[in-house]
Amino acid sequence: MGPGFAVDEDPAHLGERLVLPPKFEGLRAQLESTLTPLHAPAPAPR
Amino acid sequence: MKLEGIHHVSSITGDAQANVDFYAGTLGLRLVKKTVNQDDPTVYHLFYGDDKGSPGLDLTFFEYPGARPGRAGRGMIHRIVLRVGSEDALDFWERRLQGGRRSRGALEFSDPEGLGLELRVVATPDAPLTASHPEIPAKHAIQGFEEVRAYTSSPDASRELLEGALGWERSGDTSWEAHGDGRAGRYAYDVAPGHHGMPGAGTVHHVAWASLDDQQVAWRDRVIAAGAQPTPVIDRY
Repeated sequence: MGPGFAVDEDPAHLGERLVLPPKFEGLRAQLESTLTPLHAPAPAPR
Repeated sequence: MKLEGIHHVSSITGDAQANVDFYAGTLGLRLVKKTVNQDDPTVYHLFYGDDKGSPGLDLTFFEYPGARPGRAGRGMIHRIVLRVGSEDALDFWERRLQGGRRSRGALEFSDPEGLGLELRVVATPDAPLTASHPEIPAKHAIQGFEEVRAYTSSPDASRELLEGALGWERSGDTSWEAHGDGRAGRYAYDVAPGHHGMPGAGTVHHVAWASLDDQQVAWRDRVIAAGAQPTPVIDRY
């Protein structure tokens, strides 16, 4: 059922940055400039 | 070989920020991943879950900015049922959502784009999967998937696939349970409405059932043998 989100990112900071599949890393600058920035609620203590 | 309940449910949104506001803000799930659609990297794929991003509570959304609202019809999932712990939790959610259709043990409502949701009090041995949110007491938090409900005009048509290939146990006239060693989840049919379904914002794209890692290829072989046409095994990021 894995590998799980905590394999790709630090469990304390899941979802904070845009994560791209390796084949799209070359497009990061372009995608980050065209995707509308999202504001998530401030994380609660976990 | 048994499936371990519902792994994730992926749906369509036309407005990623409004989607974040509802699922992370109002429902209190954790935005556990912000990535792009692997078939179209110019648009978001958002994942919400418990604090750890566990299989068993993972709602994901493909964003198609400005997508027209769809509506569920025959062959489509029309409601996602999530577990809560008590009637007190339903009272809390009824106040927080300022609406919904309350019945004993359940609260039905829709997300801002019309996706059907239900919170249901369920007695289960499955571990609760919860996210921390400053406005939501832990005892009232959403605890994981219970069921998805689909529209059909012929519930018997899929019976062989569901019982034979997927190994689900019938748990009612038109409902089945996928019961693994760790978790269980259910699939239920309702009679399809007269209108045709229309994919779009607020409709479900697919539901995924959890398999153990070393059994995934065997499951694929089983559904092929039953006449289904699965994709190859795909590595998702």
